[in-house]
Amino acid sequence: MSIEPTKLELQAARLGEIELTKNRETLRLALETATETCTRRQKRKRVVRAIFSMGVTLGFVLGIACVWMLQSHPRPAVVQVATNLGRVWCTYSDASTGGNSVVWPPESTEGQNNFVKSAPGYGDKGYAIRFKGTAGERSKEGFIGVSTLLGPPCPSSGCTGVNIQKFSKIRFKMKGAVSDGELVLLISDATVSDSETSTAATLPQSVDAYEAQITDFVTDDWQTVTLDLRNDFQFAKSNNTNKHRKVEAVLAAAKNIKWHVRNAKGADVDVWIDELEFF
Amino acid sequence: MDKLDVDKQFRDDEGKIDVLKLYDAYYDCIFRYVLNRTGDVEVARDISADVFFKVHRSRWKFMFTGAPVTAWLYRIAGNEVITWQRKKKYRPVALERELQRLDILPLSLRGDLREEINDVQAKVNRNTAFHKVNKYVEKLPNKYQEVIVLRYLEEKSIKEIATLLGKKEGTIKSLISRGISHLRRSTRTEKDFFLQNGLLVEASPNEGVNLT
Repeated sequence: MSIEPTKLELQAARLGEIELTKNRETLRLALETATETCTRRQKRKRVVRAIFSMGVTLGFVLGIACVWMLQSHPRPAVVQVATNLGRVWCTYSDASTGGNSVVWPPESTEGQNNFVKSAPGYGDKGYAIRFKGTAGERSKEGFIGVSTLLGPPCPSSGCTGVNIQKFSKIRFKMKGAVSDGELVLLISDATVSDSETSTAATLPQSVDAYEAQITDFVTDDWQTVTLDLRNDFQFAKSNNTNKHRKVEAVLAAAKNIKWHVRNAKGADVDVWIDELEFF
Repeated sequence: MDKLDVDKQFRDDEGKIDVLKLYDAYYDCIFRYVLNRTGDVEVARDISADVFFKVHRSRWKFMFTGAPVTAWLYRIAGNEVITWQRKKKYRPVALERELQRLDILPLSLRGDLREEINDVQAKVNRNTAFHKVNKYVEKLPNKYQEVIVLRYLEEKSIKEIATLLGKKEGTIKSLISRGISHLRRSTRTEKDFFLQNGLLVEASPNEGVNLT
């Protein structure tokens, strides 16, 4: 069988020029509309993307600026600590270790928070931190004191905590009377519970690393006490079990500070503290 | 000419494919090609519409690599035709539906479009030779269908077909030759069937597909 008849048949089947003019134009209109719609959508997308990119870039630049500022100025001007960081204050005494000291506000013995603020504060306004009592003479070193936690922060309760390594000095107002013995400010880097309800009773044995003598500042009138965190504090002599550590390490790991009255031998103590700040 | 300069005229300002330019240049070709393969004007119109809407939707991922853009168009059209042939219930995205979606089809125009389709379909129906050939051609594998339709029903040269399909001329010649052989075998089988059943009086030993 020759191929030619098939070819001839195929040629006879040609449809010739066939056009769908109206349909063709309508389809073109549809395509044109679809293209325009798509182009508008693309332009809108581009604008949104550009705004988003600018936002991201701006955020990135601001982030870098913040990091730079923090690195360049690691010590913020002032941070108020007294009673407004949300950390608990608590009193403590040697009663828990067999001594006969008495302190007010009462110590916490079962995890409850017995601390109360006293009025009026500095300038006869608001409240102050006050602790008073009698340092016992039964134990070798009768002591009473008040302590507050510096860190770590407790986001759940809103307390912020504070890293005192970023600061150069501590400042607070103080008044009162310590009839015998000595009042020291202790920086402790003991590992403490992160719980916001941690009290003296629940704290592990603190490691009082550095101390500063502040007895002379306790007078009947409010005195401003300013101490250089690196120069005015000395490694705690009483801490025989504690290996010497550099002040920077202690500041970096500082967990609490204490106003600590010791060697009072039955003396009456009444100390008011207000406007505590690091700067 | 750099091979990347191929189809340069179909690129928009951003270097992406310009669907409207492509449409203006190739709509008639694609429509006739699909009509020659299906014999149904409405299906051919809808498949052609679908081809260009598919191009429109995929234009952002089309890369000009040197292969002619027509090869892409004919491949889409061929695949749509195969789907339609395999499953006649399958309908491509109807133009009317797309127009309604885009809200650009006035009711007055709808009647005109239908009338035009009916007129063209009547013209196609009058060509009995086309229907006879179409019956055999659509049974061929797709690769033979496309070259035979382009060569014999659309009178394209071997070179033109090679350009349109993005294949070598030698390949096109070979495909046409094999396609014709397939066609001859299928027509002979049918002829034998008719002869065996007394439905056809053999007039000449070399009649090919002329079964009337």
